[in-house]
Amino acid sequence: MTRFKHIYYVIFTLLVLSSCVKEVTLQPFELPDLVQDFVRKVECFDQENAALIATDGGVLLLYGEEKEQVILDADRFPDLNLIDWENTEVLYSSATETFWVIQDSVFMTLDRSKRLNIHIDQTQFNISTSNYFDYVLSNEGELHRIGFYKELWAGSSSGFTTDLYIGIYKYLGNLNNTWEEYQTEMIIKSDNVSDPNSVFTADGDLLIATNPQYIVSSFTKSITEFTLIGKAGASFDYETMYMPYLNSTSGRLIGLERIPDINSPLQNILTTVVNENDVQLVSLESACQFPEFSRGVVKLVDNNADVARFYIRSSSSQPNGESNVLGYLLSYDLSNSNCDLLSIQASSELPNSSSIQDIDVLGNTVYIGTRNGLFIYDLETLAISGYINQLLEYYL
Amino acid sequence: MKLRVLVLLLFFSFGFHQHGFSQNSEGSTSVYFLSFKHFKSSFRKELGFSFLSHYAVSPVMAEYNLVASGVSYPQPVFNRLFGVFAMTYEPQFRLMELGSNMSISLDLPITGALSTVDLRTRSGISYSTEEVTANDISTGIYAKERSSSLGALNSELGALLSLNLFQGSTIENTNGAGLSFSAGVNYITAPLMMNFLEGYQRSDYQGMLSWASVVSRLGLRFGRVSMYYMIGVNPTRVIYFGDMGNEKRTLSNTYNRFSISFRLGR
Repeated sequence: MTRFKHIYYVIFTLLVLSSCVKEVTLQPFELPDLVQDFVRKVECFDQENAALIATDGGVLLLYGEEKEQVILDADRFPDLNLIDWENTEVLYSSATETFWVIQDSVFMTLDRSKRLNIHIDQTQFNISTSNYFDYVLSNEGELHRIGFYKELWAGSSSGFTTDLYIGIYKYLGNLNNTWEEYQTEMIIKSDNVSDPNSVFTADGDLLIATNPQYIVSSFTKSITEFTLIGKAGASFDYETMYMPYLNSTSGRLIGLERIPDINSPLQNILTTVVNENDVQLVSLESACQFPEFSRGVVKLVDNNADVARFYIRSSSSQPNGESNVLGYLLSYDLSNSNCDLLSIQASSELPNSSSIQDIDVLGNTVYIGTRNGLFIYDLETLAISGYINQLLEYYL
Repeated sequence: MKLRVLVLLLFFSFGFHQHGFSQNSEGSTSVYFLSFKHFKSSFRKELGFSFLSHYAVSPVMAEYNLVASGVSYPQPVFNRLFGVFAMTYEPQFRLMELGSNMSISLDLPITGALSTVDLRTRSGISYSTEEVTANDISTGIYAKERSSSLGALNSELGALLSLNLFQGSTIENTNGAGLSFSAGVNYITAPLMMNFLEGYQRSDYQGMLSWASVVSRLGLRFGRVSMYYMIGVNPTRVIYFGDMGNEKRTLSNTYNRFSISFRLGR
């Protein structure tokens, strides 16, 4: 009988041992085939830690330090096929974690919850300057359009010039299909008219980088509070600066003379101190020693404090014996006029720059969009790899 | 985990003690510790054999990338060995003897086995560490496979703490049969010989060719003959998903082996 009692020990042991089983789960993850398609656009928002990569197969959004992927496949979101990515403007709001893709009258929002909303703007702007718009997101993520709502002859003393009145329009969303208009008394002379490029400051003021420059501290239906600062540049006519960036610490405003592209590289950048009249024109090629086989600055990558970073495209045909370079990242520090040039080396996977469509930088990673898919260049290891390869290494 | 097993052993020890085993004529239990002076009386050695009864699965060593409809379903990859024939030499050191019917020993089984070894998924895909290139991916290949098994032969080195009862527990015990309960760690290296016909290199599979398993063992002793069944006691249940998104479960880090051993010497 005593010996039978020992059976209990055995049973007890088996029970304890069975409770020792650990459990692990191998989670599936999305492997975006679309990053192997023709890449049309790469837009990284370095300070907000977000990126949009548009390809013929759809759109890949990246969020946060972990670069969380949100994949919108064109098969499931056929509205993506409406977009001509090469002619779009992409904005991002970290407040709503939403990308805005704007092309003519098509507005598209894509967010972290994999929602895609599209809206065709039916608004009619009847004045002759209706093409001159700028879109900007407020710090709360609301889309604003800066345009002109009225054009009046400036009087006989001004000859044929007219006064263009700036209007601020707040987007009310798809359901309303409207913009809320705020008519202002801010005026641009027609001989200075250009895109009214703008930016919201950290304090929530709206800075309109035209000539004169306006800083709008508040606007309502009845009244707009603004500060006017006339701008002038030595030996050149200043009208506006594209893609303005305000360094809130130094008060320096940095912008481009025009939007660069592959066929018309950027020559100059513009700088001004917000509260001063003087505008400086900086020739990048004069200020910095450009590499021999380059095709000029084709993109503003990002701004951080007083440092503006650009992508210089290299010539796709480099002489034999030269190590192939896909391009260069040029960092220009406005505070001391220092230039820093970093070459992006080619590899067997991406031997030259001929297939590169777009490029941008997020953190220490250069995202290179090509006709054959998305590639990644690590600025620490200086190694290049296909995005999908790196994804496999990351997850597995 | 190891601590838990030790507590269990002490629990057993306490339990048997309470039931009056190993008491001398005065009613108190005599305790004898391993002494190098009388080493031979505390030492026992066995030679064991297994035939087609030896199967082990390593912890998850890698993940195989199964891709369907733009989603990757990582499949667990294990080092799996199947022993055809195994031979074990096992020295046993009785650390403590409680009376003449019970002892606690340190057993060190050293095993060499003729076995087939492969790194594979549960569905039988042989995993390869060969790099997946961008060209592979563009043609829909997301993971590489081997065409034949990784290698053969394996070795094991165990360290077990055993509670021995009756026959075989002490040198003077004359019972006809005995029992042993063991717990410890078994370190496995597999394969010992890579498949040279396919040119597989050990360096390509670093970190995947050896592992340690926590094991327990039940032994039955009859005279010179002992029968052992050793089992892995710290398995991991791996939950993963098939290419239809269906959940699957399997156990990794398992060990099973039945062997018959013969006492060498006294």
